[in-house]
Amino acid sequence: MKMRFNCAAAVGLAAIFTGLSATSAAEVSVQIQPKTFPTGRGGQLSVTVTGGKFDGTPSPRVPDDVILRPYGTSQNIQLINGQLSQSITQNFIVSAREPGDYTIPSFEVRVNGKILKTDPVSFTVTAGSPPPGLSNPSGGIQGQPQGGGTADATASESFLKLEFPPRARDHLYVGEMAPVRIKAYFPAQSRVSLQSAPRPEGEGFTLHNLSEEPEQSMEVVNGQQYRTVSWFAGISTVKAGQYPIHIALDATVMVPERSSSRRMRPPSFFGNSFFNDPFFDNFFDNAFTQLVPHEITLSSNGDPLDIRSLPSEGRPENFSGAVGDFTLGSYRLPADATAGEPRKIRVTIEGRGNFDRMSAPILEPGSEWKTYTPKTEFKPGDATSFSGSKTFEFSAVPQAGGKQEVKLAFSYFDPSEGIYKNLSSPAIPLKVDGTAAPSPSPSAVAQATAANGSATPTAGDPGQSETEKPPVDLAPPRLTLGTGLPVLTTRAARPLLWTLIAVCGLLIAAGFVVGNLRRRRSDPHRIAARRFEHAEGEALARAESAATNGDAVAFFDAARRALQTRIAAAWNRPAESLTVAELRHRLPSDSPAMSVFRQADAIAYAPQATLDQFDGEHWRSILHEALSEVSNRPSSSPPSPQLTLTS
Amino acid sequence: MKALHLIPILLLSFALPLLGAESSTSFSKGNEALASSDYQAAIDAYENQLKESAPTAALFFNLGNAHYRLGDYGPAILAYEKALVLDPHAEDIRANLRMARDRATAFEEHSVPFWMSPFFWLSLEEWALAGMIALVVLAIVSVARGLAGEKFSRAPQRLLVVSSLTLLLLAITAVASRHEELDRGIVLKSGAKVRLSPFATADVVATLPAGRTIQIESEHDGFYKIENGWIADGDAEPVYALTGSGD
Repeated sequence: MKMRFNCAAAVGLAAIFTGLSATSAAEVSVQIQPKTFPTGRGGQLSVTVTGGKFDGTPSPRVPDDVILRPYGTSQNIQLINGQLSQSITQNFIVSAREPGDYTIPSFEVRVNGKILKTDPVSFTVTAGSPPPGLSNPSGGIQGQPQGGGTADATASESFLKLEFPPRARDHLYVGEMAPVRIKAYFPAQSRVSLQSAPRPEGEGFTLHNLSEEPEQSMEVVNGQQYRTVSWFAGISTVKAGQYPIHIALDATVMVPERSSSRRMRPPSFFGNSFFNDPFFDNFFDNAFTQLVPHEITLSSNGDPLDIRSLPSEGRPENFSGAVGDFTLGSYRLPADATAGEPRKIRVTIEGRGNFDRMSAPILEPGSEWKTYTPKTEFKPGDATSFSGSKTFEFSAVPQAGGKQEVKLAFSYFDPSEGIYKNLSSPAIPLKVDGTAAPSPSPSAVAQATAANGSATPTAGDPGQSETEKPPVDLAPPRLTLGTGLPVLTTRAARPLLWTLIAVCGLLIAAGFVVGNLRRRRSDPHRIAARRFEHAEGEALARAESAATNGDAVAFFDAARRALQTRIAAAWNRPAESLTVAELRHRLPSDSPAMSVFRQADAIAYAPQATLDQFDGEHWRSILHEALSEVSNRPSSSPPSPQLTLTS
Repeated sequence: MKALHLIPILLLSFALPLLGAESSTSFSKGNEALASSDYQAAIDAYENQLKESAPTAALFFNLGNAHYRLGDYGPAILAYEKALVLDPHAEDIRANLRMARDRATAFEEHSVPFWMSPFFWLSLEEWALAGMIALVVLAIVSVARGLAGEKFSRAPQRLLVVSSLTLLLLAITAVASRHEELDRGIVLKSGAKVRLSPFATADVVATLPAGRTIQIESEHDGFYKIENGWIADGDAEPVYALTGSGD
C-alpha cells in the first residue's frame, strides 16, 4: 500500500514538474515593500521571475545614495484555475542615506538564456528620526537592552559589550596589550547581517589581531534570549590619559513587524487563550509577519580607562618598549668568530605581552659587535596573539680580535609589578680571530639599516642613523653589451631544453634500432640460415611434386637434398662436409632419415629394382618424420668425415 | 642520412632567437645616465634594452650597479645574480654582488661537502650545456652508427661514446645535486611580507629583508610559494628568469 502511494506521489510530482516546464513564456516583475520608509530603515526589493529561472543573480543599478544588499531567494509554486505556475524571487534590502524620492531604473535580467527587462520602481525615504536607541551615522546603540513591542524597539535591543579578563589593577600602561572579547547581542528572533568587523573609535588605543571567524551562540540576558557574536582581539594603549574604549560595529537587523502580526492573529474567545503562548507568537510571526530591515551601528560604551605612562625611573638603557611578562627562550651564540666576518645569532623570547612592539635582544659587549636588522618570526599562543613566542635572527660582526664573553640581554616592563626587568643569557667565553674588522664600515651599517627599513638595535654604533652615500668602490660598469648566448637553464628555456633532450633521446634510440636491424641483416649465420631455408624449401617442393606424380627418382633426389640441408642447418655445418659414416654414427639405423638415405642410395644405384614398389604417400610422411627428427637431434657429436655423401 | 641534417637545424632554431647582433642604443643611454649619476634613468634604459634584445651579463651587471647606487640592494643583488648566470666566472660581478650582499646584510652561507666540490667548478648553465653537448654527440654517434653501419670505424665510436657518457653522467649528477639553485629567488623589497596563503589579505607569518635568497617552490595567482608561506611576486623574483621582470 505504501509502495503504491509512493508511486502515485512520484507520478504526481513528475506531472507537476512536467507541467511547470511546459508553462508559458517567462515574465519578470519588481516591487518594493514598503514603498515609503524612514532613513535608517529599509525596504525589500523583490525581483520575481514567473515561468523560468534566473541565469545568475540579477544586479540592479541603483542611484548613488541608495544602498542595495542581496537578501536571498525564495520560490513559490501555485495552482490557479487548474494551471500550475512557478515563480522565483531574488530579494534585496534597499535603503538610502538621505531622505528623498528614488527610482531604481529598468535593468536587464537573464532568464532561461533570454534577456528580460524590468520596469522602473520608485520608493520614498522620509526624514523620520530613528527610534530611541537606534543609531544614526554618528552614534550607536548604547546601554542595556530595552523592552518594546515594535520592530524598531526590537532592533534597539541589540547592543555591544566588551569583556576584559579579570585583573588586579584598574589601569593600563602605555604600550601594554590587553586581551578583550567583543560581544554583540542581537534579539533571538531577528535575522542579522554584519556589515563590518568591530572597529576602534576614539583615541588612546588601537585594536590588534581581531579574530577572523567570530563565535556565535545563544544567551539569555535579563530573561530575554539573544543571539551573540563574539570576537577576540587585543587592545593596545598608545597614550596616557583617561580614554573610554569605543568599539563600533555595523549590522543590518531584520526584525518581524510585531504589531501587524498581532493584528492578524486569531481572536481570543477565552481571554488568556493558548494562542498567547510564545510558541504561537513565533509561529504566527514567521507565517504572517513581514521582516523589517534596520541598518544599525552598535557601539560599546565603556567606562574611561586609566592609561598611565611608563615610569622613567629604573628604565634600562636597552629598553625598547616591550611590556608584559617574558622569558628568554632558546638562543644560539657563535662558538667561534673572526673579526669582520658576520655570524648568525638566533634568540627566542616567550611570554605574554605586546610582541608587536618588541625589538631584538642585544648582543653584549655591544661595543665589540655590530648587529644588523633581525628577521623575526612570531608564533601566537592564543587567538589574540597576546601570548606566544617571537624569534629573532640577526647577523652580528665582531669588530676586533681577542677574547671576550658574549651574552644576550633583554629588558621589558612588567605592568603587574610596575617595574622594569632584565633578562640575560649566561656569558659564553669566545675567542675572536683576527685583529681589526676590515668591513663593513659604519656607513655600511647605516645603509643596511636603511635598506631594511627599520631601526636596528646596534649597541655601540652611534652612527647607525646616518645615511651616507655608498663609497665608490664598485667594479665599474661594462661598456659593451656583449652577445646574448643561448641560456638553457632559464625558466623560459626549460621547455625547449626538455624538448631538445627528448629529441636527442629519440635519435639515440632510433640509431640503436636502425643499427641493430642492419647488423641482423648482415649476420653470416642468419644469411646461411636463410639460404638453408630457401634450399630446403625448394627441395621439399620438388619432393612433394615428385611424390604426387609417382616419380621415385626425382622424389628421393629431392628428399635427400632437403634432409641434407636440414641436417647441415641443425648441426651448423656446411652440407658438403656431411659424410655417410657420420650420419650412420649419429643417427639410429632405423631412423626415418636413414631410411630415406638408404632408399635414395638404392634408387641411385639400382633404379629398376625399386621403382615398382614406390609408394609416394608413404615416403612423403617418412620424409616429414625424418625432417622433424633431424631438427630435434642435438648437434654436439664430433664429426668423423670418411665418405662424401652422394648428391 | 636526412636525420643527420635535422640536428644542426634544431640547434640553430633553438639558438637563433637568442643570438644575433643586437641594437645597443638603450644600453649606451643607460651607461651615459649611469656616468652622470642619473641612476633611475639608467635603470629605465637598461630595462628597455632588456625588452629589445636578448639578455647579456653586461646588461644585468650595469643594471645591478645602477640599483646599487640608488641603495636598492634587493634588485641590485638580483641583477648581479642574473649576470652571474650568464657569465659565471666574472670576478667583477662576484665582487659587486658581495658588496651588495654586505650592504643588504643578506649574507650567503655556502658549505659544500668535499666530494661535491667538483660539481661547483662549473656553473649550472655550463653543466647543462656540457650535458646537452654530450647528449647531442651521443645522438649523432648513434644515428651515424645506425646509418653507416660497419663503415663507421669502432675506435673513434667507442671514444666518443665513453667520453660523452662520462660527461653526461657528470652533468646529470651536478645538475641534480644543485637543482634547487634553479628555483632561487631574491627578495626585492625590504620588509616583504610572507603570508600564510596566497591572498593579499592573508595573515603575515614573517617579513623578509631585501636581498634575502628564497627558494621558490611553486607559483599561484601572483604569489610565490616559499618555505614558510607565500610572497607576492612583486616582492621577489626568480634568478633564473632572465628578463626584466621574470619570464
